[in-house]
Amino acid sequence: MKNDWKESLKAAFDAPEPGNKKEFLRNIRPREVSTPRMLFQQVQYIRGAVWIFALMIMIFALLGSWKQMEETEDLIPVIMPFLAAISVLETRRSRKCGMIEIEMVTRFSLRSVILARMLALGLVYLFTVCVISPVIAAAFGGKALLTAMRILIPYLITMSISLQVERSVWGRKLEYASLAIAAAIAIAMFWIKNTDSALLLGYTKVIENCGVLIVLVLAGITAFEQWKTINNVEEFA
Amino acid sequence: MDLEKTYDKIYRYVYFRIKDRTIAEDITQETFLRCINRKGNMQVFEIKYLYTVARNLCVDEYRRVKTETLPEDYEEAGAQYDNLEERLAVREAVAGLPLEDQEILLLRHVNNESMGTISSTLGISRFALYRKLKSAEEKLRAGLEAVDHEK
Repeated sequence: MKNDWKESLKAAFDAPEPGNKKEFLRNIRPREVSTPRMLFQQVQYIRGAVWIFALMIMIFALLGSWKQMEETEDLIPVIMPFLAAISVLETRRSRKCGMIEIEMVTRFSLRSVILARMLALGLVYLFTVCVISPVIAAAFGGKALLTAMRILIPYLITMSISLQVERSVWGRKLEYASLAIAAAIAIAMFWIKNTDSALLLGYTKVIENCGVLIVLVLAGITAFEQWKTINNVEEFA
Repeated sequence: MDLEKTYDKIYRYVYFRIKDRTIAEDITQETFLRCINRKGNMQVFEIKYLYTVARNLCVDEYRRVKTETLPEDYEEAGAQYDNLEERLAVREAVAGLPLEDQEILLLRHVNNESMGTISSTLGISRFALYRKLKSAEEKLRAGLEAVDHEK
């Protein structure tokens, strides 16, 4: 066939412009995305500062353990509340950046986006704790489980309180309420370690005796608070 | 797969068979929806599968409405092009061909489908398709010459 015939042939078979093609195609775009893929997508939207902070904690713990710096064991539980505060701040970033309207009309609901981001952060932090606890314990002659409890307790306390505060009326007004809570917890941890030896002894004893139970209860409360945050996300946002 | 291009191809094919814009669009969309329901994902669409579904839906439509009157918008299509005389001549020549030849010419030269896709859609072998395509092209050429002579 000659090319000019082909052109004429195309015109001969031409159809009138379809009326609602674009609208139809927009509506049938795939909506189902697997959980790992969704998690991976959301990981890319979490701010670099969050990952850098987690990485710095890990480097600090590993270097401190390697160099036998005694402060490492005490400073990590003091820093952990700030990691929790950053996670909570990440959940309210949509409102801060004015992205809420856009996220609400995209293919994922805001709930699923926040859930995926929380899950991604939680998994990374869990990995961090799993790595640094045995290293610190080995370096300073402690037990890995007890070290993990000492790291997790301030983190979980900050998380559960911050999530609760973020949902409250004044928590929504105060941009960095969770950071203030983290600072308060960090100061309390610092005070326990350095000011009152009787208090430190009591705190250590409590962790040794029922640390696992405390962590489990705190983890349960944190999970419940996160669930409430996810459920109230439209109002929260 | 470019979804928009695929939509245009299926719509053009359905319109060729149905000759009614509204029904053609309904059938095109029904074709896509049926494929989504079965595959669950647009990415795995195969064009020959879409053609087959569209073809079957057209057959269903023929059975439902047994008349073959041309709709009002049939003559409007393509009227905006240059060389209107030549294009009308080609259209006249195409209209004189058997429906199967028209279908083959549309799929091969307008929708630019592969021989494999066309043979699978029409349910014939590649060799048979090749022969039919050559025959259709010959008939079209003869038809065009006849139209020229008349003028």
